[in-house]
Amino acid sequence: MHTSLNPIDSGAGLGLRLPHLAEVMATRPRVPFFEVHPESFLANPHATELLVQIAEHYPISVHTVGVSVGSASGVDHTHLRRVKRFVDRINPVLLSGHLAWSTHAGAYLNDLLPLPYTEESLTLLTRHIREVQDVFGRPYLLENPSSYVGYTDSTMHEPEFLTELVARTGCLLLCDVSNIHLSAHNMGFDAHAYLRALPWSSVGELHLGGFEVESDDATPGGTVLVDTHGTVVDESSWALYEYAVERLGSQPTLIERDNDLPGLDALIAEAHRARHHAGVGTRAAEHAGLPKAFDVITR
Amino acid sequence: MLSLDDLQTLVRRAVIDSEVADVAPRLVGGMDPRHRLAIHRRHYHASLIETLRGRFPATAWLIGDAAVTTAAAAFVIAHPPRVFCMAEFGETFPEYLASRPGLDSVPYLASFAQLEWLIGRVSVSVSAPALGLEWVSQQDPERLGSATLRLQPGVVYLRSDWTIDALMRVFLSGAPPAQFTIEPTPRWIEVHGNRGDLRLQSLAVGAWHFRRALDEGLTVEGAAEAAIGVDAGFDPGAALVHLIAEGLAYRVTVCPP
Repeated sequence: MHTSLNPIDSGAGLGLRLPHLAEVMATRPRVPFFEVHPESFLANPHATELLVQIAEHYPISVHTVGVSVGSASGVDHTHLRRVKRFVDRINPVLLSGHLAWSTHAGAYLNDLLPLPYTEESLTLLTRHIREVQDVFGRPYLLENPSSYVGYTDSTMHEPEFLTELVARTGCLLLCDVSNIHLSAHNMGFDAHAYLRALPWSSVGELHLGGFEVESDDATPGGTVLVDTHGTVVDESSWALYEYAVERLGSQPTLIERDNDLPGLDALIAEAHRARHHAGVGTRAAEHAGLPKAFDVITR
Repeated sequence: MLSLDDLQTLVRRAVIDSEVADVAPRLVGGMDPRHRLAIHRRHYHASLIETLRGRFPATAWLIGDAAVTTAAAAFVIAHPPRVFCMAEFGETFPEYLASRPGLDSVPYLASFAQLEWLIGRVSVSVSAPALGLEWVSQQDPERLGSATLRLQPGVVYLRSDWTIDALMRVFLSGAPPAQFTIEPTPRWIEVHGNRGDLRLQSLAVGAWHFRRALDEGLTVEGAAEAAIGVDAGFDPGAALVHLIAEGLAYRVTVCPP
C-alpha cells in the first residue's frame, strides 16, 4: 500500500473511471496516482475488487461527491459509514470532498450546489467537517467550487471563508485551479488575487479539468463557463496552474475527466503536460527567489 | 436573511420543480442570475434522465427511447434520488414507468423493467467460494433440515406472469428476430450475476420457491415445506444437491444438536 504522494514527478494523476479499470489492470500505465469517486464503486463490488488490486500498485486518492458537508439537514451518516468501509479497503493517500451541498431533507440533487458565505454556514461546515474527520480519522481536503451563481446573503469572499474553515477544523484544501478560472469568469473576480488569498500551507492537492463555453442567458452578449469535465484542460487553466505552482510550490495534481471519456492514452498524455507546466511555474518561483519544496519536482 | 435551511429549501424547489420566483431575489451572478441557477437545474434533470436511460436500455429497446426519456423526465421530479450512488437510483422506476398513460396497457412492462433492474444490479456482484457437494454427503440427515444456507450475493428471484425471460434473452442476443411473441405464461426466474457474467434461467415452480425461501433465510426444512406447498411432487434432496452443484450456496449454519 502507498502512504504518500510525490508532488509531481511524472505528470499529474488521473481520475480513474469505471471504463478504464480493466485497461489499467492490464497495462499498468505510468501514472503517479489515481483518484476515484467512491460513489461510483459502492454499488459495484466487482469494480471495487478490481480497484483493490489496482491500489496495490498505485497510490489512490478518494474524492467524494456525495458527502454533503454543506447541507443544513446534516451529513448522512449511513452514506458516511459506507464510504468509510470503502476507504478502509483502499487505504487512500488523500481523502477529499467539496465546499458545496448536495442533499436536502433526504433528497440527493446529484450536483454540487453553492453555499452562502456567512457565519451560519461557517458554523455548520465546521461541525460537519469535524464529524467527517472524526469518522475517517484523517484530514479532509475541501475543494473550492465551480460557481455560476452566489447569494446576496454572503458576507465574506470564498478564500476568506475557506481560510476560516481551515483554521477552525484543521482540514486541508484541494485547490481546483480550473474552478478558480471558471468562477472568476462567471462571478467577475480576479483569479490571481483569489489564489494569492488562499492559505497556501494548507493546500494538499491541485485539480485541473475541462469546461464548456456557453452563451450566458443571464448576461446577454456574455459567456458563462460550465464545469463539464468533458474536454481537455483549457490553456487559460494551464496558465493559472503555472501561477499556482509559482506561488504554492508543486503539489499532487490531478486531471479530471468524467464525460466524453477518451482513451486512457489520451488522458495520460494530457496528464504528462502537467509536468511541463509545473516546471514553468517552478522556474518562475526560483527566479523570484522563492525557496524550498519546489526542489522536489526537479529531481 | 433566510436561514440556511430555508435557503436550501428554495434552491431545491428551483432545481427540482423549477419554482424559481422565491429564490431569485437571493441570487447574484450576471444580470439575471435565475439563468445561472438554471445551469444547476439543467444538470439535475439531464444527469438523472441519462442515468435512467443508461440503466434501462432493454426497456427502451422494447417501448422506445422517447417513452423512457419522457417517463424519466417526470420521474426525477416526482421521485428525487434518496441514494448517493447513481447506480442505485431507479429501483422504483419500473412500476412508475408501467403506470404512465399509454404504457399501462403493456401488462409485462413493469416486470420486464424490473428484471432489467435486477440484472444490472447483480451483474457486478462478486461471488464467494461456493460450498462443494461433499458438504451434503458429510451432513447428518437428521440435522440437515435445520441448516440455513447463505446464497451468493448475486442471486435474485423474480416471478412474472409473462415470458419476460425469453424476451430479455432476445435483447441480450443483440440479434432480435423480426417478430417475437411474448406469452402470458407464468415464469419463475432466477438471475445469477458474478463479475460481469450473467445466468438467467427459468425454474420449476417448486425449485423457485425452495431457492427463494432459502435466500430469505428459511431453514432447508422450511424451504422444502414452502416448495411442497406449491408442488406436491417436489424432491427437496435432489433440489438441494442441484443448488449446491450450481455453486449458489457459500455458507451454511447448522443448529447444534
